[in-house]
Amino acid sequence: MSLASFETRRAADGGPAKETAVKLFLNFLARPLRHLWLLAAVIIVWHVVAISEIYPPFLLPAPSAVVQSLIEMTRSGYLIDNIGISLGRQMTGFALSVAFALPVGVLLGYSRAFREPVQPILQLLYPIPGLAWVPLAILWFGIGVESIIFVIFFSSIWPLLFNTQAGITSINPIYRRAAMALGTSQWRTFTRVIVPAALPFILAGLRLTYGTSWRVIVGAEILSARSGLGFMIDNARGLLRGEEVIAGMITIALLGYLFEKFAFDFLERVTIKKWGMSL
Amino acid sequence: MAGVTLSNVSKSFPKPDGKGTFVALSPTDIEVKEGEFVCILGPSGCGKTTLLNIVAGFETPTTGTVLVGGKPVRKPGPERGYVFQEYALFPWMTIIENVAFGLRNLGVSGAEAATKARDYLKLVGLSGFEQSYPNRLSGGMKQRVAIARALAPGPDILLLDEPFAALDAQTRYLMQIELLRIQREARKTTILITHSLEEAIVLADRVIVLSARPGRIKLIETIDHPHTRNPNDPSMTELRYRLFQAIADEIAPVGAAA
Repeated sequence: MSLASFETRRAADGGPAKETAVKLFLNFLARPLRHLWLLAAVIIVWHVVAISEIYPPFLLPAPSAVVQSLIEMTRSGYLIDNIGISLGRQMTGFALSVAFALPVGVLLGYSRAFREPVQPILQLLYPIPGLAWVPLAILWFGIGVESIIFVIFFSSIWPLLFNTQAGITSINPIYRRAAMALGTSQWRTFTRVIVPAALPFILAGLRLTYGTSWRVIVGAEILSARSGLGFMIDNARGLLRGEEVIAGMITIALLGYLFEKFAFDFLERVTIKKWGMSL
Repeated sequence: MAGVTLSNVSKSFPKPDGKGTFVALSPTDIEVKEGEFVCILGPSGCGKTTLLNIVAGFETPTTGTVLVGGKPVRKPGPERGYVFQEYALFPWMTIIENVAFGLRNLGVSGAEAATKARDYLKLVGLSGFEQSYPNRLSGGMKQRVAIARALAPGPDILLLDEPFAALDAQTRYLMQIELLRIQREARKTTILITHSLEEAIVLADRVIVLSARPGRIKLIETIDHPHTRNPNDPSMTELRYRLFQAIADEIAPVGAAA
């Protein structure tokens, strides 16, 4: 018996169906609550500790002060400007990372002649943390956008590079055979078979590369910029404005979360989820 | 249209430890006539898939030659349609894109390929699923699509590697009858690999039984037409017995079998 017909029968009996509807509605309300109650509790504790003024407000501002600071900085345009600057740098860095890591990752997976000499270089560069590139970047490009993009690039290429390589090498050989038996040219095999078959890995790599590029930009801006969210936070620290520091960090968290959530979830939904290829 | 001729075809692989080789397939001669349906039957590991892969061009024989329509096989090609046990449909293409793919490879225009692909989907009874993705289909439906995809570029030869092994018994029987109808309709020379005696009886004009490794031809049985295509038909009893005996000897080589 289907659930629907079960409900109908209960409704015909009277009372109980109504009760179920109320339960369903409460469940619907409770769902976000189940995920968010701990976060709410943390904010409440934060609030209580902050207004008790155990710590001076510039060290631990109240949540309300942070929200107020967010509103003020949004009104004045200061926050939006810095978001725009940071996003612009990140997108440039991210685009360069993808433009490099995607084809190189494909070649690493595809061609032994390419992999053998290139792999050792990459393996030596990989352990260098993103921020360790900052001094060299400043030395070469000075303080400013070039060095930030340079740092984003060397921090964020790795996940996409190695995921793409893994995606290409782990393609089920049956797809290649099927393509061969259908008389597919090398180029068409590559574009219509190899790349889509590796897409679950490539998308996972893109997501990580995106996340890394966003996280590293703030660090890079703290060290080597006079604008952007990273600079904004560091500047607020210098002025002892704790609420601005935290407001900036919340902005970074929300933007990163929202973009990853919507852009990449969407990309996956219209490709590998639809095709039943999710990892 | 073309037949398939294997002369002195054998295959050896290097052993995993690198010392020497093992023989997967002993030198074998097989002649498949144009339009004939041949089933190659044998226990697992007898080299039957190796044999089919050599005809397909996925593997090169260690000795011997394969001729398809008089021409030697060197690599895979669209004149030999291949159906895999695991279907091997491209999950990122819709059903109609899968079926049209081989036609597009041949340079057929998009519209014409789509029309033809629709015809083949109709032939395998899957009209209405053109825009679905393979993951929405059941195993039997996927294998129908795979057959349509193999047929679409108009191959002379159809090669099938245990195509129905993953299906439940009822679906398998339906698919066998369906394949037989399609094979008759399209008049393709067909080689099908199976480990199922019933499948061979239902489908084949001729059954070739391979021995356990290294594979060599153990028995050839021609099945006369017309017959009922019911493996349990009383007239099939003797054939069943002979085929079973031939296989049983291979699985239990110490003379244990009936």
